[in-house]
Amino acid sequence: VAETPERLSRTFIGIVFVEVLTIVALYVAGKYFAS
Amino acid sequence: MSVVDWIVVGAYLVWVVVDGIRMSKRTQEVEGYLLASRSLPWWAVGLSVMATQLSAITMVSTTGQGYADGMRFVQFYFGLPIAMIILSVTVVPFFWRAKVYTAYEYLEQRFDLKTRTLTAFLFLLSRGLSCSVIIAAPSVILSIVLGWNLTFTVLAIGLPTVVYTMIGGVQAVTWTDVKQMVVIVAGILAAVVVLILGLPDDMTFGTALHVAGAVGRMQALDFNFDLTQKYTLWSGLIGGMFLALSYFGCDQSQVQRYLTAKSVAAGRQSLYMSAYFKIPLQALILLTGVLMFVFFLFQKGPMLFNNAPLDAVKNGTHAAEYQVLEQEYNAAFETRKQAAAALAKEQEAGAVGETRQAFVAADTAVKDVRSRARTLVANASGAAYDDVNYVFPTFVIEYMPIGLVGLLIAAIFAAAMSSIAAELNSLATATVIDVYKRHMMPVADDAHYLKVSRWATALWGVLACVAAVYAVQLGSLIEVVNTFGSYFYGSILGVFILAIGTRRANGHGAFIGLIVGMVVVWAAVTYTKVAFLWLNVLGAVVVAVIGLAVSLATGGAQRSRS
Repeated sequence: VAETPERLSRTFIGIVFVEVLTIVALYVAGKYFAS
Repeated sequence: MSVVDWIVVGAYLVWVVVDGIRMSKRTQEVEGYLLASRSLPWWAVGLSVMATQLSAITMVSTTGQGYADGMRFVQFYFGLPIAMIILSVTVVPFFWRAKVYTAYEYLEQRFDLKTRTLTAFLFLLSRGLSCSVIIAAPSVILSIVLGWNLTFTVLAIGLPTVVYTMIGGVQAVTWTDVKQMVVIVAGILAAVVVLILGLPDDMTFGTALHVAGAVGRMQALDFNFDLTQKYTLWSGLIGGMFLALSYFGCDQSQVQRYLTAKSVAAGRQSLYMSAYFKIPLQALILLTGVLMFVFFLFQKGPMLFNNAPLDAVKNGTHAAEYQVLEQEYNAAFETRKQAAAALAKEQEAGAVGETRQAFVAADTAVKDVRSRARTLVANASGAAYDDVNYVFPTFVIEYMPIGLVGLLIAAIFAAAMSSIAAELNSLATATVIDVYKRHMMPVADDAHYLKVSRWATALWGVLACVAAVYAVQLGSLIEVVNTFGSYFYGSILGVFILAIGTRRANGHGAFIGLIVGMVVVWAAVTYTKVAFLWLNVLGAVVVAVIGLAVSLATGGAQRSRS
């Protein structure tokens, strides 16, 4: 598959999205299991 | 260790050596030996990048951190995905299209010889020392926990790695990394399953996490902006990003991984693998530590996990004092066990009352006894004492079933060997390309450089093994070496920021900036309490600012090039 700027942008957005999701999940898990 | 476990470990060692050599194709020329003729698929390179970063120290120490401190350490990796995005659009295409063997070779193309030589020298110094430490640290722990001879343990880890790295070059390193990564993940998953099955009969996985959460083990995030705190959200996001930029972008042991990729796109994709999976993998390793904490709430482990100096303490002048502490520990453990069981019962019933406070108080009491015991051992032995890194190996040896003990020891071996192999391979590359070929023998045929590359790999391997045997006898040297890299990691990143980020920078600016950056970081370490992750930010910023200022004062890029 050709590496276009649009495809790269989508990959970067995907990485940042997964990271934010992971951090939020860790935060929620920390709060939930501490309660 | 049982015969079955010995067979598993032995089979693993034979497998990696034979397979490493067998998988080494096209290593009859230097480019094939050092860069796999730039032909490897992204997924193999990606797994090699992850395996190189995950050393045995990470494996035993991170599970220990999870046991003692919970999930907090995961913040250390928060900057990594952002760093991977930045590197995939900067250094990966720059290095790949420049057709270089080493990151430092690129610095001569961009700046001058002195900048290349200084950065290559700093790499050889730091990685040469760290290579011995990544052999020494797990060897000490395994030799104490398993009762093995220390030199034997060093050689069991070091020698097979030297053999397949020397014969097979980077092809052997990469393809064994792929398999070692599978062994490591399988080992961690096996430990998690055994830990879950080892919970008391009436306790669910969720309740176990609630019990751990009651004493803060599940709290992963710390929002405090405190420069002296080691692990916070901010030090992880900002300091961790600079550290990852430096490690993956400027350290030959990682740069060489993606230089073997068959295209720029494959090099980029190999880094995306870490961007997606590094944080979840580290979270899983830390969770293993948290589950060990719950496991040892109900299963009485030793008061202290590192047995090495204990015999001398138990039989010396502090014997009576130690015995009193052991009695205190036994009582405190029983109280905590009952409090944990009561809390779990209430948790299952959905109504938690005062049992939580009782459990927190009981856990504090156990921590207090352990802390006093550690201080006593340190005073009695006259050396620093910590046992966090011994918790996971002790759990493996004492509580894992036969066969899985062998798998876990093989996984610790795999974690060590994958990092050592990549470091030996990159040390040999920098030695041959940046020192031997550039300064000593600029003109020779390919076969000559190939032979020198093999011998350089062997020489670094033997040096690392010998240094490892001596390093473990010096104890605190390991810590010195571990912090040594942070003196110039950020500063080297600053040089690459100048190289790729601006056309106005020249060799004089980069060289002077690098030296000033290292001095400023040294002053920060000596005179302040700034946590080490921030040193990378400091070093990079100082080098970039001073380097640019000196470049402009000395006539910009033209002066240096002419």
